[in-house]
Amino acid sequence: MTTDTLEKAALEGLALALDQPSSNRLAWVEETYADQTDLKARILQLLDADRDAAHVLLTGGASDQLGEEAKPERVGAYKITDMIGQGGMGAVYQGVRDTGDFDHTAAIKVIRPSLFSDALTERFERERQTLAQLNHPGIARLFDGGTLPDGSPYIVMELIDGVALATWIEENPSDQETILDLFEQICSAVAYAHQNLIIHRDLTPTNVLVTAEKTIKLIDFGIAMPQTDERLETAPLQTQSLSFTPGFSAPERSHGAPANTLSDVYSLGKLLEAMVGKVKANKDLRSIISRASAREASDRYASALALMNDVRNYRTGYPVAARNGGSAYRFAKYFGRRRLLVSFAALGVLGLSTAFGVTLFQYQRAEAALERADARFEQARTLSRSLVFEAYDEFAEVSGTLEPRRNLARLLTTYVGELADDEKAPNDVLFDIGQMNSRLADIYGGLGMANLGDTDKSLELLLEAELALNRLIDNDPANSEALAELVFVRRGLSMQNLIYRLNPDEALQYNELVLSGAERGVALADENERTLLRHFWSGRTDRLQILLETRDLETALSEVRTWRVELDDEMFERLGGGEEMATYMAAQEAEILIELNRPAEAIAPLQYAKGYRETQLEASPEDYYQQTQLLVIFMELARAKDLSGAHTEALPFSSQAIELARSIMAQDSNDAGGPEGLNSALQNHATFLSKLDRVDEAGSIGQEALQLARRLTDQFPGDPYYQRILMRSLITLSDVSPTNSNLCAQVNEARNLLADLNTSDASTQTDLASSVTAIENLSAKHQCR
Amino acid sequence: MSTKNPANVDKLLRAWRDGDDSARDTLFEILYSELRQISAALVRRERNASLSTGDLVNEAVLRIVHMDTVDWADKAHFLALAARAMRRVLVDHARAKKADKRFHHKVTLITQFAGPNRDRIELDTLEKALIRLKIIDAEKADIVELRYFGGLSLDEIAVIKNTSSSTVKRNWRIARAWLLDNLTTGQYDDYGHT
Repeated sequence: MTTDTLEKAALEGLALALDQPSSNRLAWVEETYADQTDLKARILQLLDADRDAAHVLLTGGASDQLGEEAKPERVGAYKITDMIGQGGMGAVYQGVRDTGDFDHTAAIKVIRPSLFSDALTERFERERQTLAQLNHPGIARLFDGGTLPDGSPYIVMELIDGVALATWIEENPSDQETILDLFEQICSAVAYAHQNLIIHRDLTPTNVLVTAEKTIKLIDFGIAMPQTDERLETAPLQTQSLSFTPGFSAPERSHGAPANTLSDVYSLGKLLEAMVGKVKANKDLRSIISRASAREASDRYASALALMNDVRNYRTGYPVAARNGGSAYRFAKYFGRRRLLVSFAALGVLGLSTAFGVTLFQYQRAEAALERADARFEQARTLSRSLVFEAYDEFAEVSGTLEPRRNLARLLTTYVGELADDEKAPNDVLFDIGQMNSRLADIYGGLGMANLGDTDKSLELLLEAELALNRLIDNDPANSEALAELVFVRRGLSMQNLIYRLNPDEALQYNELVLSGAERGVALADENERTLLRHFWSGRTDRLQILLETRDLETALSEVRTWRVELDDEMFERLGGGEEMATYMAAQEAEILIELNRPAEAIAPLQYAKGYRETQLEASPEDYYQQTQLLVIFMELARAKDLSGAHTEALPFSSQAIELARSIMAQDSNDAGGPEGLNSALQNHATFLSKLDRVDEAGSIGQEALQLARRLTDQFPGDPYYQRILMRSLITLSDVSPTNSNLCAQVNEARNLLADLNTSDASTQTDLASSVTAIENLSAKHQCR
Repeated sequence: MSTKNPANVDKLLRAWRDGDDSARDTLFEILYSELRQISAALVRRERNASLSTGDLVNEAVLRIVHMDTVDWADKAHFLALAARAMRRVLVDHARAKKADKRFHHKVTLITQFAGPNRDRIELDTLEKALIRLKIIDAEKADIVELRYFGGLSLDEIAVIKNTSSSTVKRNWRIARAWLLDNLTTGQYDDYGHT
């Protein structure tokens, strides 16, 4: 056999061998060519070469040889000490900073500009600026950049002491946990890049480095470009497809489709497959891989975050989204069409975390656009406004969304914070910052509303809002809208200091700013005059609350009396609804007088308040707010009469309170406030009857109160608030009906409830002191135990 | 009249399709000259190529012919011609460099980002191996030319070779294995003989 004949036969043999399944290939050759030693050896040798050939002779790879390997002496402030690697797009060197200011070793990547157009260079320049903004532990840091004298752009990057993921996995056989730890780190870095509109485009086991500390670093963003860039029409299509490694790049990219986040998700899937290849992947993990690397981009995870979440689901034993028929994806599509118009309430049945990933992602795209201060700025602002003012509330209504809500709030906070960093932010942006921060403060810890319970953050956001609005007012002192917002924010600061920080001094200082600011705003006398005047009076109600909290009752009384005089017809007209304020002030005055043990004086302001409420109810008898407020007035009137010794005169008021409470309860049987109000009215009434020695009546009224209390504790088992109502009802009944045969049982039940409350409800223990005394007195008097 | 005039190139293409070999040779010369200019510009500007030969070939072709006026089969054959021209340009360039005293080291081929100790392939040696492959299996040698030097897609090559993409793919794989084996073990004289 001549050499050429042998070679021909070997090529044919190789072709046949390659048609065999790879597991069986070598055995097949051994068997088939057992009698032809030379040919068999040659075929086996070629099979050996076949394993490496794919990495050596690349399609269209011949031009690489045109490259010179001249190593630059220095790049910028760095002296080149070594070459780390080289490829079609450029070379990477190791360099030492030698300007003498500080010791620093870095990796320096020099990019070869395109032969045909400067578009690639421009793209790289833009990308360099974007990379400079990336600060993530999983992404090699960018330190510096510039252009060499020959026009080649370069970047100076963090020098990473690590090995390529491919090598690392081979050299460090690891358990699945370690592998998935690394993978989550990679996802997190990719997701972070996506949020900044950077597509990696070439995620392969060689472009991920693993350090000795088992942390990962993504390298080679050199070929990544902002995803929103339009296709460069002047560049040949092939420039786009330069940057993919077969096997890891999404199928659509081989048809010249531009890279997007979904093609990175594909590469992540392939990466995961390569990583877990050594360990046995179970069904869940396999379905995650196949979902991520689905052929159709639309079948993949909607984002790197969604993929990461699913890996986390898998690791923590939650159902894996990849296996439930892609409902999350269907949602993603729906969401993509409808944008934020979609009602969050509809999400209950869908994969919430995935869906939320999509929400965040879409938002973050807008956010990144904003950083670039381009035409989409307004869109991003609008989007975040709708998120902060509308979408959040809808989302909050879905139970079990606390964590996503926290994420959303955190994200929005970051966004608004970044807006605020702009020293040249125009006034309308400053206003947005103020208003959105104020709203976010409500989300984190707004008083009297459902919030995330982070009061420190809430206060901090209010301070941010104050800062922005102050800046705006410095620019434009006559901006009454901003002044009104500032006054509102400072009301929040004042009240949060009072209630969360227990700092009445600080609260009072902010309150003074509220009052002076509102006054100045009112003096501007423009279209916001009424708003500011209302803020002014609301500020006064805050002030009253602060004075009551500090027990400065005398000051509170004298001020509230002065203010009530100011609330005349003219002020009513200016306020447009000042009667409500006047009624509130009257009730406050009465309460202060009762606290000061001057109950007789409280009657007049209470009668004033009663008159207003009754008038309002004549006009609209169903008004729940007015009904409950009138109920309080009736009870206060009864209390004032009782305290001033006119027990008989207390009775008609407590009867009216009971009647009103029954009517409120009848309107809405689901409202716990109904039975609660009635219970309170009944207990009061029973006590007054008992004082008039009408023991039988008192007993039956007390029994009714107790039954209502039991109904509430049945409805809300374990709730300390209703447990306390039950305890008080037991004490009241034992007090007013001492001949009751169950008396000791009631007293003992009250004592047990008290013991529970003492351990469960530490914040209100002082409130319980009177109950302790009452129970011990009853117990001693009736010889219970 | 310049031969580079696109209308003239269209005419040459039609003549070639009708069996005029001299038209083919003229086209080859046009392509060769275009590609040589491009690569010379690369070297002169001391900028390294960031494009594959597929890009170079496409760019050259686009410069001299209106592709949208040419049908698919013509285009594919024209690309094949360009791939051959590219191969000639690159090999000439490699030999010129080798002859030049300033280039002490061999001209090598770098195919991937890799460390300093990566394996290198000498293009001149590859050319010799290709000549030998042409003797053993001309079909496979052609595919290497089209794919490696021309950067053509499997589909394009299938049209040129009048076969299926899967056959092209299979032959490309076999040729590649054979070449790599020869590059790492074989020694050639200037005529491709061991």
